[in-house]
Amino acid sequence: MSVTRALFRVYRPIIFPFAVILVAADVIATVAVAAVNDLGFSMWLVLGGQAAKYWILVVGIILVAMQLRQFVVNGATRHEFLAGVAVFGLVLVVGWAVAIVLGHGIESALLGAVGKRAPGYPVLTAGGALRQFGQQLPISLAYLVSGLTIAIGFYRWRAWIGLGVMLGGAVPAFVADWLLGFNEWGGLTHSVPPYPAGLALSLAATGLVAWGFHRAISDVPIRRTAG
Amino acid sequence: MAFDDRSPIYLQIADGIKNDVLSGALKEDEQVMSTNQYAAFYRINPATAAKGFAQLVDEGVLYKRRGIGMFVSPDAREKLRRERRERFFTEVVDPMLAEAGRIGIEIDEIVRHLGGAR
Amino acid sequence: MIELRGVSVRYGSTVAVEGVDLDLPTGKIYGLLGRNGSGKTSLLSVLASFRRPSSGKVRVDGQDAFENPAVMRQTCFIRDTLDTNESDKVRALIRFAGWLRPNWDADYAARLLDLFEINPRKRASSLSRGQKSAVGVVLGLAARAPLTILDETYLGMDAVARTAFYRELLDDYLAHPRTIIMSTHLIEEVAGLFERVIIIDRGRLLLHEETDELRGRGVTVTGPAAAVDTFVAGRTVLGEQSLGGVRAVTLDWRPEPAEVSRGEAAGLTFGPVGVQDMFIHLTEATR
Repeated sequence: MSVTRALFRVYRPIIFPFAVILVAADVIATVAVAAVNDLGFSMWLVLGGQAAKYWILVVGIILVAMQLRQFVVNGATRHEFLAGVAVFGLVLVVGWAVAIVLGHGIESALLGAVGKRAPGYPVLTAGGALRQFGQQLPISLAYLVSGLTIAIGFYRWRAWIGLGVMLGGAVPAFVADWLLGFNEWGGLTHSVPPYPAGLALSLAATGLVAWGFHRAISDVPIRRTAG
Repeated sequence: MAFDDRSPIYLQIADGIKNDVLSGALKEDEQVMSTNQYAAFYRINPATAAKGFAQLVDEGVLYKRRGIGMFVSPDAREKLRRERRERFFTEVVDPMLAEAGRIGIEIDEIVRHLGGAR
Repeated sequence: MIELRGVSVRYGSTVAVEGVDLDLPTGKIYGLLGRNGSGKTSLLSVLASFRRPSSGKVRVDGQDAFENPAVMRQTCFIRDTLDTNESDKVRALIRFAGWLRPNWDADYAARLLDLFEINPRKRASSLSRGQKSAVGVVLGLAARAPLTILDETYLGMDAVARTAFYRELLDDYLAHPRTIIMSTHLIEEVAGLFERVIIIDRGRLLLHEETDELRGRGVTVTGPAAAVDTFVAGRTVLGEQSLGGVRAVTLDWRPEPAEVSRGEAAGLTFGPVGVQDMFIHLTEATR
C-alpha cells in the first residue's frame, strides 16, 4: 500500500468525526444567533475558517510526532513518507478550500431561503467564491507546513533549538494570516498589499519553510520511545 | 539445548551420531534426519548441524544420496569400532592409569577388579 | 551481502561506534554481543537506516542502504522499546504493518499473538514489559523481512515465552530463510541459534566468527600456581584467578592433546570455555 493511501486510512477516523462535529457546531451556533437576529455575517467563514487553519496545523504536527516514526519503522523511507504527506496534505488543503466555499454557499442559500439574511451578509458570488478559494488554499497550506516544521524542530533537536525552529516554522502561518486572512464577511483583513502580491509572498514564505522542513526530515534519526 | 556450549557443537553432533551408530541406534544404510530436522529437533542453527553432518560425510560415516538425504555408510560401524579401538588405550586406559597413580592405587588392585568383571 | 565500511556513529562529542568494517553474508543468523553502552544499538540503528552513520557506509547487495526504498522495505528492525504510539491498539499495529510490509503474513501474526497470549484489543500503553516484547517479536517475525534485526526484543519475556520464541524463530527461519541479526545479553540461552557471532566492545568490532570457532577458542588451566605460570608462559591471558596456591588462568588458545597430557602430568586440569565466558573475558580483558 502506498504511503498516501495508508495515511488516509490512518486519518479516516479523525477526519470524518471532526467534520461532523464542526458542521454540527456551526449549525447550532447559526441557529442560536438567527433566533435573535438576522445573520449579518457568515458564521461558517468564522468557524470553518478557524477550523481550516488550526485543525490542519495540528494534523501537521501529528504527522511528524506520530506518523513519521510509524512509517519509517515499517519500511518506508523518509522521502517516501514526505511524498505521501505532500499528496495527503494537498488533498486536505484543497479539500478545506472547497469546504469553505461550499459551506459558505450552502449557508448563503439556506439563510436566504428562510429569510434570515441581514443586509450586511456576504452573499456568495462566483467571484467571491473564487477569491475565497484563492485565500483559503494558501492559508491552509501555510498552516500545514507550519505544523510539520514546528514538530520536526522538537523531534530532531533539543528543546532550545526546537524552540527556535518553532518560531521559524510559525512564519508561514503568520504571513498567510496577515496577507491573505479573511474576516467574517470574506474580505481581506488588510487591503495592502493587494491579493496577487500577498499570494506570492505567502507562497514564498511557505515554500522556503517547506524546503527547510524537507532538509530537516531527509536524514532525521528515528528515535526510540522512552523506555 | 542438549549440547554443551563450551566446545564446538558440530563436533558434538558428529560424536552423537557416531555413538548412535556404534550402539546400533542408527543402523547401516539407514536414513538419518535431514540437517533441518536435526536443527529443529535440537534447537540449534542448521548451518551448525550441516557442518557436523559434513564432517561425518568426510570421515565416511555418512553418505549422501542426491535428492533423497543422508544415510549411514554400510561399513560405518566397523570403521568406528576400529577407530575407537586405536584410541581406547591412549584416551581411556592411560589416563585411568595416571589417575590411579595420583591417588595411589596399585596395578594389582586394578587387575583384581578387572578379573571380577570378566 | 551486507557491508559496513568504516562506520562510525557520533552523538555530539560521544563516539558510540568507531570505524566498523563488517561483511555479513545474507541468509545467516547472527548474534551481536556487546556490553551495555558498547554501541550495539547504534550499530543496528545504522544498519537499519534508522540513523545515518556519522561516517562510513552501509551497503546491502552493493547498494547504499540509507534512504534506499528497495533496502528499507526489506529491512525490519525491532527494538526493545516498542516503536509505537502509546494510544495504538495492538490490533492497529498489526494491521498497519500489514499495509506496508511486502512479505507480511497476517495468519502467522494472528497465530503468534495467540501463542504469546496477547489481547489485540489492548493499547500499547497498557501492555506489560513482557507483552510489549512479545508484540515486538510478532511484528519482527510476521514481517518476514529478508533482513530482520531484533535488538534485545525478547529480554522482557519470561522463560516460557522466550523458549516459545526461540522455537518459532528457528522454525520460521528454516521455512523462510533470511538474514537475522539478534543482539542479546542472554548469551548462553541463545548461542545455539547463532551461526556467527559478532562482538562489539566500546564502539569497536572485537570479533566476527563462527560460533563454533568461539566455542573452541579458549581454555581454562587450573593447578598449582607455579606449574600454571610455567605452562601459560607466552600465551594470551584473558583472565586469571588465584586462591591460596591455586591459580586458574583463561587463555585465548586451544592446546593440542599432547600438550594437555603434558599439562595433566604436571598436575594441571583443563576446562573448556563457553561462549558467554569467552565474551566476558574478551570484553573484560580490554579494560
